[in-house]
Amino acid sequence: MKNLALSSLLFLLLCSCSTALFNNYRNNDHVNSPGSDSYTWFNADTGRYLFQSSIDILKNNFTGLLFVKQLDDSRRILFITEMGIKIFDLELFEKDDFVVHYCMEQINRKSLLNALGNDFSLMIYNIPGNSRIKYMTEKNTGKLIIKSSGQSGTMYVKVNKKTGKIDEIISAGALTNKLNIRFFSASGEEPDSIIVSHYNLNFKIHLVRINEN
Amino acid sequence: MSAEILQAQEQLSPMSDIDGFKTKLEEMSKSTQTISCDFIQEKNLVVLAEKIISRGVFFFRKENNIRWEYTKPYRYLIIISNGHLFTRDDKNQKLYDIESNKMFQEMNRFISGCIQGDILRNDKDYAAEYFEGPSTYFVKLVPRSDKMRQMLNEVQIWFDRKDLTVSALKMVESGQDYTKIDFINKKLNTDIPLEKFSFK
Repeated sequence: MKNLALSSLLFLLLCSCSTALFNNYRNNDHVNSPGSDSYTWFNADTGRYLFQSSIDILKNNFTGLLFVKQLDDSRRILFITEMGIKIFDLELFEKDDFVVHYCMEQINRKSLLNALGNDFSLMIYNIPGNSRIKYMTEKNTGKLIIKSSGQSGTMYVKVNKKTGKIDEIISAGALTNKLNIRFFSASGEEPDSIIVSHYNLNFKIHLVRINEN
Repeated sequence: MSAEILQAQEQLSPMSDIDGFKTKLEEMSKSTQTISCDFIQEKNLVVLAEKIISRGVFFFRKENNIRWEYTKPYRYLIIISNGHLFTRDDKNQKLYDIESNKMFQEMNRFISGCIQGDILRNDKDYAAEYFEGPSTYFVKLVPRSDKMRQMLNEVQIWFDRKDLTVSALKMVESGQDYTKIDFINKKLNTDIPLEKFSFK
Protein backbone atom coordinates (compact mmCIF):
# COMPACT_ATOMS: atom_id res chain seq x y z
CA MET A 1 0.00 0.00 0.00
CA LYS A 2 2.85 2.29 0.98
CA ASN A 3 4.62 1.45 -2.28
CA LEU A 4 1.51 2.18 -4.28
CA ALA A 5 1.11 5.57 -2.63
CA LEU A 6 4.76 6.37 -3.26
CA SER A 7 4.56 5.30 -6.91
CA SER A 8 1.42 7.38 -7.41
CA LEU A 9 3.12 10.40 -5.89
CA LEU A 10 6.15 9.93 -8.12
CA PHE A 11 3.90 9.51 -11.16
CA LEU A 12 2.05 12.70 -10.29
CA LEU A 13 5.33 14.56 -9.80
CA LEU A 14 6.70 13.39 -13.15
CA CYS A 15 3.47 14.29 -14.89
CA SER A 16 3.33 17.74 -13.35
CA CYS A 17 7.00 18.37 -14.23
CA SER A 18 6.67 17.36 -17.83
CA THR A 19 3.44 19.35 -18.08
CA ALA A 20 5.24 22.38 -16.67
CA LEU A 21 8.06 21.95 -19.15
CA PHE A 22 5.84 21.55 -22.18
CA ASN A 23 3.00 23.91 -21.27
CA ASN A 24 5.02 26.83 -22.42
CA TYR A 25 5.79 25.43 -25.87
CA ARG A 26 3.77 24.50 -28.89
CA ASN A 27 4.88 22.07 -31.57
CA ASN A 28 6.04 23.68 -34.72
CA ASP A 29 5.87 21.19 -37.55
CA HIS A 30 6.16 23.81 -40.25
CA VAL A 31 9.51 25.24 -39.34
CA ASN A 32 11.91 25.08 -42.20
CA SER A 33 15.05 24.42 -40.26
CA PRO A 34 18.40 25.21 -41.87
CA GLY A 35 20.04 22.72 -39.47
CA SER A 36 21.47 23.27 -36.03
CA ASP A 37 24.88 24.37 -37.39
CA SER A 38 23.47 27.72 -38.43
CA TYR A 39 22.42 28.60 -34.85
CA THR A 40 25.81 28.10 -33.20
CA TRP A 41 28.02 30.94 -31.99
CA PHE A 42 31.15 28.96 -32.85
CA ASN A 43 31.54 29.55 -36.50
CA ALA A 44 33.82 27.10 -38.32
CA ASP A 45 35.24 30.04 -40.32
CA THR A 46 36.51 31.81 -37.20
CA GLY A 47 39.86 30.19 -36.56
CA ARG A 48 40.22 30.90 -32.86
CA TYR A 49 38.33 32.22 -29.86
CA LEU A 50 39.94 33.48 -26.66
CA PHE A 51 38.01 33.99 -23.41
CA GLN A 52 38.84 35.38 -19.98
CA SER A 53 37.60 32.49 -17.89
CA SER A 54 36.62 31.48 -14.41
CA ILE A 55 35.87 27.84 -13.71
CA ASP A 56 34.50 26.60 -10.37
CA ILE A 57 34.98 22.89 -10.02
CA LEU A 58 33.76 21.55 -6.68
CA LYS A 59 35.93 23.42 -4.15
CA ASN A 60 38.48 24.74 -6.68
CA ASN A 61 38.30 27.99 -8.59
CA PHE A 62 40.55 28.41 -11.61
CA THR A 63 40.91 31.61 -13.57
CA GLY A 64 42.77 32.11 -16.81
CA LEU A 65 42.42 31.99 -20.56
CA LEU A 66 40.24 29.57 -22.48
CA PHE A 67 41.38 29.03 -26.03
CA VAL A 68 39.11 27.43 -28.65
CA LYS A 69 40.50 26.45 -32.04
CA GLN A 70 38.76 24.95 -35.04
CA LEU A 71 40.61 21.94 -36.50
CA ASP A 72 39.66 19.87 -39.59
CA ASP A 73 37.05 17.70 -37.92
CA SER A 74 37.26 18.70 -34.28
CA ARG A 75 37.66 21.63 -31.86
CA ARG A 76 40.53 21.95 -29.44
CA ILE A 77 39.89 23.60 -26.05
CA LEU A 78 42.79 24.63 -23.84
CA PHE A 79 42.56 26.29 -20.47
CA ILE A 80 45.69 27.99 -19.12
CA THR A 81 46.27 30.20 -16.11
CA GLU A 82 47.28 33.83 -16.60
CA MET A 83 50.90 32.79 -16.02
CA GLY A 84 50.70 30.19 -18.78
CA ILE A 85 50.28 27.03 -16.71
CA LYS A 86 48.10 24.55 -18.58
CA ILE A 87 45.07 23.25 -16.66
CA PHE A 88 43.50 21.09 -19.35
CA ASP A 89 43.61 20.42 -23.07
CA LEU A 90 40.58 18.70 -24.64
CA GLU A 91 39.72 17.80 -28.21
CA LEU A 92 36.01 17.66 -28.98
CA PHE A 93 34.44 15.79 -31.86
CA GLU A 94 31.00 16.44 -33.21
CA LYS A 95 29.72 12.95 -32.42
CA ASP A 96 29.74 13.50 -28.67
CA ASP A 97 33.17 12.12 -27.95
CA PHE A 98 36.29 13.87 -26.78
CA VAL A 99 39.93 13.19 -26.06
CA VAL A 100 41.80 14.50 -23.02
CA HIS A 101 45.26 15.51 -24.25
CA TYR A 102 46.31 16.88 -20.86
CA CYS A 103 44.82 17.64 -17.51
CA MET A 104 46.32 18.88 -14.26
CA GLU A 105 46.55 16.35 -11.43
CA GLN A 106 44.02 18.22 -9.22
CA ILE A 107 41.17 17.72 -11.68
CA ASN A 108 42.22 14.40 -13.14
CA ARG A 109 39.00 12.60 -12.23
CA LYS A 110 36.91 10.79 -14.77
CA SER A 111 33.61 12.31 -13.61
CA LEU A 112 35.00 15.87 -13.75
CA LEU A 113 36.58 15.40 -17.16
CA ASN A 114 33.34 13.89 -18.48
CA ALA A 115 31.41 16.89 -17.18
CA LEU A 116 33.91 19.31 -18.76
CA GLY A 117 33.88 17.42 -22.08
CA ASN A 118 30.07 17.25 -22.16
CA ASP A 119 29.63 20.92 -21.21
CA PHE A 120 32.04 22.21 -23.82
CA SER A 121 30.59 19.87 -26.47
CA LEU A 122 27.14 21.29 -25.81
CA MET A 123 28.49 24.84 -25.77
CA ILE A 124 30.14 24.40 -29.18
CA TYR A 125 28.11 21.78 -31.03
CA ASN A 126 24.83 22.56 -29.19
CA ILE A 127 22.87 19.48 -30.16
CA PRO A 128 24.21 16.03 -29.28
CA GLY A 129 24.80 13.67 -32.21
CA ASN A 130 22.34 10.82 -32.89
CA SER A 131 19.43 12.54 -31.20
CA ARG A 132 15.80 12.91 -32.22
CA ILE A 133 14.98 16.51 -33.05
CA LYS A 134 11.67 18.27 -32.62
CA TYR A 135 11.03 21.95 -33.39
CA MET A 136 8.75 23.98 -31.14
CA THR A 137 7.90 27.61 -30.41
CA GLU A 138 7.97 29.21 -26.97
CA LYS A 139 4.46 30.62 -26.51
CA ASN A 140 5.24 33.89 -24.73
CA THR A 141 8.41 34.89 -26.64
CA GLY A 142 7.95 33.27 -30.02
CA LYS A 143 11.46 31.81 -29.75
CA LEU A 144 12.28 28.74 -31.76
CA ILE A 145 12.96 25.78 -29.47
CA ILE A 146 14.87 22.78 -30.71
CA LYS A 147 14.20 19.77 -28.52
CA SER A 148 16.62 16.91 -28.83
CA SER A 149 16.30 13.52 -27.17
CA GLY A 150 18.97 10.88 -27.17
CA GLN A 151 21.58 9.11 -25.10
CA SER A 152 22.64 12.33 -23.40
CA GLY A 153 19.05 13.00 -22.26
CA THR A 154 16.70 15.75 -23.31
CA MET A 155 17.95 19.16 -24.37
CA TYR A 156 16.05 22.34 -25.13
CA VAL A 157 17.90 24.81 -27.33
CA LYS A 158 16.33 28.28 -27.41
CA VAL A 159 17.06 30.32 -30.53
CA ASN A 160 16.84 34.12 -30.50
CA LYS A 161 14.34 35.36 -33.08
CA LYS A 162 16.32 38.49 -33.89
CA THR A 163 19.86 37.12 -34.11
CA GLY A 164 19.05 33.59 -35.22
CA LYS A 165 21.65 32.41 -32.69
CA ILE A 166 21.27 30.34 -29.56
CA ASP A 167 20.26 32.17 -26.36
CA GLU A 168 20.13 29.23 -24.02
CA ILE A 169 20.59 25.48 -23.79
CA ILE A 170 18.84 23.55 -21.04
CA SER A 171 19.60 19.96 -20.24
CA ALA A 172 16.47 18.59 -18.58
CA GLY A 173 16.38 15.66 -16.16
CA ALA A 174 13.32 13.65 -15.15
CA LEU A 175 12.47 15.91 -12.22
CA THR A 176 14.70 18.94 -12.43
CA ASN A 177 16.93 20.66 -14.94
CA LYS A 178 20.55 19.52 -14.85
CA LEU A 179 22.43 22.11 -16.81
CA ASN A 180 21.97 25.52 -18.29
CA ILE A 181 24.17 27.32 -20.84
CA ARG A 182 23.44 30.99 -21.57
CA PHE A 183 24.99 33.02 -24.39
CA PHE A 184 25.19 36.83 -24.33
CA SER A 185 26.05 39.09 -27.25
CA ALA A 186 25.65 42.80 -27.94
CA SER A 187 26.27 42.55 -31.68
CA GLY A 188 24.34 39.34 -32.26
CA GLU A 189 27.28 38.08 -34.31
CA GLU A 190 29.97 37.09 -31.83
CA PRO A 191 29.52 35.75 -28.29
CA ASP A 192 30.50 38.35 -25.64
CA SER A 193 30.06 36.02 -22.70
CA ILE A 194 28.87 32.53 -21.88
CA ILE A 195 27.75 31.07 -18.55
CA VAL A 196 27.53 27.33 -17.95
CA SER A 197 25.79 26.35 -14.68
CA HIS A 198 24.99 22.97 -13.20
CA TYR A 199 21.95 22.87 -10.93
CA ASN A 200 23.02 19.96 -8.74
CA LEU A 201 26.78 20.39 -8.69
CA ASN A 202 29.14 23.16 -7.66
CA PHE A 203 30.35 23.44 -11.22
CA LYS A 204 30.21 26.75 -13.07
CA ILE A 205 32.04 28.13 -16.10
CA HIS A 206 32.04 31.85 -16.86
CA LEU A 207 33.63 33.00 -20.11
CA VAL A 208 34.13 36.58 -21.35
CA ARG A 209 35.36 36.95 -24.93
CA ILE A 210 38.66 38.77 -25.42
CA ASN A 211 38.83 41.02 -28.43
CA GLU A 212 42.27 40.36 -29.89
CA ASN A 213 42.12 43.02 -32.60
CA MET B 1 66.55 45.27 -31.09
CA SER B 2 64.44 43.12 -28.78
CA ALA B 3 65.96 40.61 -26.40
CA GLU B 4 64.21 37.80 -28.27
CA ILE B 5 65.74 38.67 -31.65
CA LEU B 6 69.15 38.99 -30.04
CA GLN B 7 68.76 35.57 -28.46
CA ALA B 8 67.65 34.03 -31.73
CA GLN B 9 70.60 35.49 -33.58
CA GLU B 10 73.17 34.70 -30.98
CA GLN B 11 75.39 31.65 -31.37
CA LEU B 12 75.67 29.89 -28.05
CA SER B 13 78.53 27.67 -26.98
CA PRO B 14 79.18 25.74 -23.75
CA MET B 15 80.10 28.14 -20.94
CA SER B 16 83.86 28.27 -20.32
CA ASP B 17 83.80 29.45 -16.69
CA ILE B 18 80.70 28.18 -14.92
CA ASP B 19 82.04 28.91 -11.42
CA GLY B 20 82.91 32.46 -12.48
CA PHE B 21 79.38 32.95 -13.82
CA LYS B 22 77.85 31.62 -10.58
CA THR B 23 80.04 33.92 -8.47
CA LYS B 24 79.07 36.97 -10.56
CA LEU B 25 75.40 35.99 -10.34
CA GLU B 26 75.62 35.67 -6.58
CA GLU B 27 77.29 39.11 -6.31
CA MET B 28 74.59 40.61 -8.52
CA SER B 29 71.87 38.97 -6.43
CA LYS B 30 73.39 40.37 -3.21
CA SER B 31 73.68 43.89 -4.56
CA THR B 32 70.19 44.00 -6.11
CA GLN B 33 67.52 45.32 -3.79
CA THR B 34 64.81 45.99 -6.37
CA ILE B 35 64.00 45.21 -10.00
CA SER B 36 61.26 46.77 -12.10
CA CYS B 37 60.59 46.05 -15.74
CA ASP B 38 57.99 45.43 -18.43
CA PHE B 39 57.34 41.91 -19.64
CA ILE B 40 55.94 40.20 -22.70
CA GLN B 41 54.65 36.69 -22.14
CA GLU B 42 54.18 34.38 -25.08
CA LYS B 43 52.27 31.15 -24.64
CA ASN B 44 53.16 29.04 -27.63
CA LEU B 45 50.84 26.17 -28.46
CA VAL B 46 53.18 24.31 -30.76
CA VAL B 47 50.80 21.56 -31.97
CA LEU B 48 48.15 24.14 -32.85
CA ALA B 49 50.67 26.64 -34.25
CA GLU B 50 49.09 29.37 -32.14
CA LYS B 51 50.40 32.02 -29.76
CA ILE B 52 48.73 33.89 -26.93
CA ILE B 53 50.50 37.12 -26.00
CA SER B 54 50.17 38.81 -22.60
CA ARG B 55 51.92 41.96 -21.38
CA GLY B 56 52.47 43.75 -18.13
CA VAL B 57 54.83 45.18 -15.55
CA PHE B 58 56.92 43.36 -12.99
CA PHE B 59 58.31 44.49 -9.62
CA PHE B 60 60.64 42.74 -7.22
CA ARG B 61 61.83 43.96 -3.84
CA LYS B 62 63.97 42.05 -1.40
CA GLU B 63 63.25 39.83 0.45
CA ASN B 64 60.81 37.93 -1.67
CA ASN B 65 58.24 40.59 -2.61
CA ILE B 66 56.97 40.04 -6.15
CA ARG B 67 54.29 41.85 -8.14
CA TRP B 68 53.20 40.62 -11.59
CA GLU B 69 50.75 43.07 -13.07
CA TYR B 70 49.18 41.91 -16.33
CA THR B 71 47.73 44.71 -18.41
CA LYS B 72 46.93 42.74 -21.58
CA PRO B 73 44.84 40.92 -22.73
CA TYR B 74 43.11 41.94 -19.47
CA ARG B 75 44.12 43.35 -16.11
CA TYR B 76 45.22 40.71 -13.65
CA LEU B 77 47.40 41.12 -10.59
CA ILE B 78 49.52 38.59 -8.71
CA ILE B 79 51.38 39.62 -5.55
CA ILE B 80 53.61 37.32 -3.54
CA SER B 81 54.62 38.78 -0.18
CA ASN B 82 54.87 37.82 3.50
CA GLY B 83 54.11 34.16 2.85
CA HIS B 84 50.90 34.95 0.98
CA LEU B 85 49.81 34.94 -2.63
CA PHE B 86 47.21 37.48 -3.65
CA THR B 87 45.39 37.58 -6.98
CA ARG B 88 42.91 40.10 -8.33
CA ASP B 89 41.01 40.53 -11.58
CA ASP B 90 38.18 42.92 -12.44
CA LYS B 91 35.66 40.87 -10.42
CA ASN B 92 37.40 38.87 -7.73
CA GLN B 93 40.32 38.92 -5.38
CA LYS B 94 41.80 35.97 -3.53
CA LEU B 95 44.38 35.53 -0.81
CA TYR B 96 46.20 32.23 -0.27
CA ASP B 97 48.58 31.15 2.46
CA ILE B 98 51.58 29.87 0.53
CA GLU B 99 52.59 27.52 3.34
CA SER B 100 49.26 25.72 3.21
CA ASN B 101 49.51 24.87 -0.47
CA LYS B 102 52.35 22.79 -1.89
CA MET B 103 51.77 24.00 -5.43
CA PHE B 104 52.07 27.66 -4.37
CA GLN B 105 55.21 26.86 -2.36
CA GLU B 106 56.79 25.37 -5.47
CA MET B 107 55.63 28.27 -7.61
CA ASN B 108 57.02 30.84 -5.18
CA ARG B 109 60.34 29.00 -4.87
CA PHE B 110 60.55 28.70 -8.65
CA ILE B 111 59.74 32.34 -9.47
CA SER B 112 61.99 33.92 -6.86
CA GLY B 113 64.69 31.31 -7.61
CA CYS B 114 64.67 32.26 -11.30
CA ILE B 115 64.74 36.01 -10.59
CA GLN B 116 67.53 35.86 -8.03
CA GLY B 117 69.39 32.97 -9.63
CA ASP B 118 69.00 30.76 -6.54
CA ILE B 119 67.47 28.08 -8.73
CA LEU B 120 70.95 27.30 -10.10
CA ARG B 121 72.00 26.18 -6.64
CA ASN B 122 69.18 23.65 -6.55
CA ASP B 123 71.13 20.62 -7.83
CA LYS B 124 68.73 18.30 -6.04
CA ASP B 125 65.72 19.17 -8.23
CA TYR B 126 67.31 20.27 -11.53
CA ALA B 127 70.18 19.16 -13.77
CA ALA B 128 71.76 22.29 -15.30
CA GLU B 129 73.59 22.91 -18.58
CA TYR B 130 75.44 26.21 -19.11
CA PHE B 131 76.02 28.12 -22.38
CA GLU B 132 77.15 31.58 -23.37
CA GLY B 133 77.06 34.00 -26.28
CA PRO B 134 78.41 37.50 -26.96
CA SER B 135 75.65 39.22 -24.96
CA THR B 136 74.03 36.33 -23.08
CA TYR B 137 74.52 33.65 -20.51
CA PHE B 138 72.09 30.81 -21.06
CA VAL B 139 71.17 28.07 -18.60
CA LYS B 140 68.99 25.05 -19.32
CA LEU B 141 67.46 23.29 -16.32
CA VAL B 142 65.87 19.85 -16.54
CA PRO B 143 63.75 18.71 -13.58
CA ARG B 144 65.06 15.47 -12.13
CA SER B 145 61.74 14.05 -10.92
CA ASP B 146 59.42 12.27 -13.36
CA LYS B 147 56.42 13.87 -11.68
CA MET B 148 57.78 17.38 -12.23
CA ARG B 149 58.71 16.55 -15.84
CA GLN B 150 55.08 15.60 -16.57
CA MET B 151 54.34 19.30 -16.14
CA LEU B 152 57.61 20.95 -17.04
CA ASN B 153 60.09 19.38 -19.44
CA GLU B 154 62.76 22.04 -19.06
CA VAL B 155 63.36 25.61 -17.98
CA GLN B 156 65.57 27.93 -19.99
CA ILE B 157 66.93 31.16 -18.52
CA TRP B 158 68.71 33.90 -20.43
CA PHE B 159 70.86 36.29 -18.38
CA ASP B 160 72.05 39.62 -19.69
CA ARG B 161 75.84 39.42 -19.82
CA LYS B 162 76.21 43.11 -18.82
CA ASP B 163 74.38 43.05 -15.50
CA LEU B 164 73.47 39.36 -14.94
CA THR B 165 69.76 40.17 -14.76
CA VAL B 166 67.28 37.68 -16.24
CA SER B 167 66.33 38.84 -19.72
CA ALA B 168 64.07 35.89 -20.58
CA LEU B 169 62.57 32.80 -19.04
CA LYS B 170 61.16 29.90 -21.02
CA MET B 171 59.18 27.03 -19.50
CA VAL B 172 58.84 24.10 -21.88
CA GLU B 173 56.04 21.64 -21.17
CA SER B 174 56.06 17.91 -21.83
CA GLY B 175 54.12 18.31 -25.11
CA GLN B 176 56.62 20.96 -26.31
CA ASP B 177 54.18 23.82 -25.75
CA TYR B 178 56.00 26.58 -23.92
CA THR B 179 55.65 29.87 -22.10
CA LYS B 180 58.37 32.44 -22.74
CA ILE B 181 58.60 35.65 -20.76
CA ASP B 182 60.84 38.45 -22.02
CA PHE B 183 61.79 41.05 -19.43
CA ILE B 184 62.46 44.45 -21.01
CA ASN B 185 63.16 48.03 -19.88
CA LYS B 186 64.77 46.76 -16.68
CA LYS B 187 65.59 49.15 -13.87
CA LEU B 188 67.67 48.02 -10.89
CA ASN B 189 67.69 49.40 -7.36
CA THR B 190 65.12 52.12 -7.89
CA ASP B 191 62.83 52.98 -5.01
CA ILE B 192 59.82 50.63 -5.06
CA PRO B 193 57.60 51.37 -2.05
CA LEU B 194 56.40 48.42 0.02
CA GLU B 195 52.81 49.48 -0.73
CA LYS B 196 53.31 48.02 -4.20
CA PHE B 197 53.15 44.62 -2.51
CA SER B 198 50.18 45.22 -0.25
CA PHE B 199 47.01 43.25 -0.85
CA LYS B 200 44.46 45.87 -1.90
